[in-house]
Amino acid sequence: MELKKIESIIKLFGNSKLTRLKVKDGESEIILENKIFTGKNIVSSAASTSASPHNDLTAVKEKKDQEVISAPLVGTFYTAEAPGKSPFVQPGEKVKTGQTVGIIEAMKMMNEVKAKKDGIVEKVLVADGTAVEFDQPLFQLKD
Amino acid sequence: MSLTNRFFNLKIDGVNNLKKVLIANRGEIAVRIIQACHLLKLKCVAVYSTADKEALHVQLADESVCIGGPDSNQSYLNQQNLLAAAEITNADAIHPGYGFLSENADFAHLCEQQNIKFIGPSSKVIALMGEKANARETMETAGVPIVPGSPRDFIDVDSGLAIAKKIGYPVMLKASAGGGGKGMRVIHSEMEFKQKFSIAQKEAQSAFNDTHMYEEKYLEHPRHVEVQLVADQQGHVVILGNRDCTLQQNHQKVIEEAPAVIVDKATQDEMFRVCIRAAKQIQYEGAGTIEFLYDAPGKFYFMEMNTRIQVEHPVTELTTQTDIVALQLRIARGEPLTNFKEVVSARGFALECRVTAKTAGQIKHLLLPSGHGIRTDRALYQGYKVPPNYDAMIAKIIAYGPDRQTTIRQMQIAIEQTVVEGIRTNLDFLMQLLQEPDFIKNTTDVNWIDLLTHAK
Repeated sequence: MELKKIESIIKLFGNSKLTRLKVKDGESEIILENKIFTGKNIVSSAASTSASPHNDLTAVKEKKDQEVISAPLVGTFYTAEAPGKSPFVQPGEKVKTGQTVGIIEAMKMMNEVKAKKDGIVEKVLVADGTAVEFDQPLFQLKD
Repeated sequence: MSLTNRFFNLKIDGVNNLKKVLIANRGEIAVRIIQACHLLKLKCVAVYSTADKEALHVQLADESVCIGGPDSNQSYLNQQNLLAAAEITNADAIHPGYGFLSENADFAHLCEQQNIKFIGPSSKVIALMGEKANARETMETAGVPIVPGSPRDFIDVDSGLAIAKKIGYPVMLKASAGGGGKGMRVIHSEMEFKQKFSIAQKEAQSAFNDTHMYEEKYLEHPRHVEVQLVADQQGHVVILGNRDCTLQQNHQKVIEEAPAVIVDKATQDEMFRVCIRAAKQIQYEGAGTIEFLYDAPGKFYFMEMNTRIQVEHPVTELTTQTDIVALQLRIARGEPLTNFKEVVSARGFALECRVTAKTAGQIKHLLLPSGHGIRTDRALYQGYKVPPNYDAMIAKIIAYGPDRQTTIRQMQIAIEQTVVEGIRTNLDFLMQLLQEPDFIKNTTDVNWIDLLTHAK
């Protein structure tokens, strides 16, 4: 291939958005690759590392979600409907998705805490009447 | 009176039993409020989202409560979780900081109902100042000058011409339903008014399906000058000088100064006088800022009142030797401002630069400036991961010196010595601004940065 031809191919390639170009002309063959693109890739993945801790968090949370029931809001956690009454659930008991397992009181309002999946209560992690924060694990479940 | 009593005024009549403050905010302002709480020996509760577990304010507070997910709507704007957090920690007051719920009248009202002291004015005053038309009207009644404009909307060109003649050209023609520049025109003469009116009105018609127009005096090179005040529950109002926040980019303040050296003594006295009258009239409580467009000596016009602490409060603190955040807390617990003159005059000169992050990520190396005349307010530390979810401002560098020129030089040196590695910041841009001849000569206006960045 003529040098001039190669030059013009390089120029064309440079002005294009292509990342890889293979030109075959008889016996000669040239392959052009734009490494800048890979560079850009690295940059963008570096920029998104900021988001990756959150991705990790979500991953952990998803895993956690399968094993624990967490507080959906801030407030005071109660294991039973009223003082003296028996708890909604106890260790060893089966729970079904949507079943009420506790109550969180916030601003004089009683909010039911519901199981997000079926399972068996392994452990109650928070004592009756304790203040809980958002996302705090309340129950440990097992399949 | 002992020293302790003079500074902390712990036992005065009317002082309520404020012991623990929940800080409904994050970032540098949360850290700043923690410092003020600890100065007054008040306990404080930090709240945080799941994205802010590692944040500095969480580590510095006495207690902390996770209030929701990374999205502000789930956490820092989640009124129910914030109040529940105050309830479970037995906090008796909430400091809203700036942004988030700081000017939310509904939230202030909820706090009032729950018997939790919202640190700021009453929900009624917040609502009054939050609604633009109401605020303008209230201020006008209190004798605060407002930009001359049409007393009511109009739909025909002749009414518009009559008003323009009265207030004088140039005028700004706006769509009443306005926004986004649609239907907006700057008009310099009667002839131009006739030419441009129908096009502007058509634009308004197609954008908002409303042909009502409004006009006001157009200021060609206005500066942003604001007055800081504090008012107690007993009705005292104290002026802590003024600030010049003319340097703005897309309506966001970039560099702030105190005092506003552009304003002559007579105009300044008049500004302070109308601010005192306005604050008294609306029975203001706490720290507040009245913002003006400044046109020329004697010509200044009300823009809005911010009913909260402002980002740029440190420049006022340095030039008036006050602690505005501590004053907010002291006012909230009922202390009167009897140790102050009605107008605290400024001494020296202070500048603030807002350092913003252009990318999120981990701070690999950090060196914040310090030394003579330098203050840095921040929530950063080496290894901290700046989350992508919130406001980009990560630190404020404040310089204090005897005069404007010296302080600008101090600030240039401070910025030069600042190292923030791992994320991109606006430090280079700040340095450029600090070296611009217009800035050094103090001949800028509110559109200056936008024009400067467009020209380049």
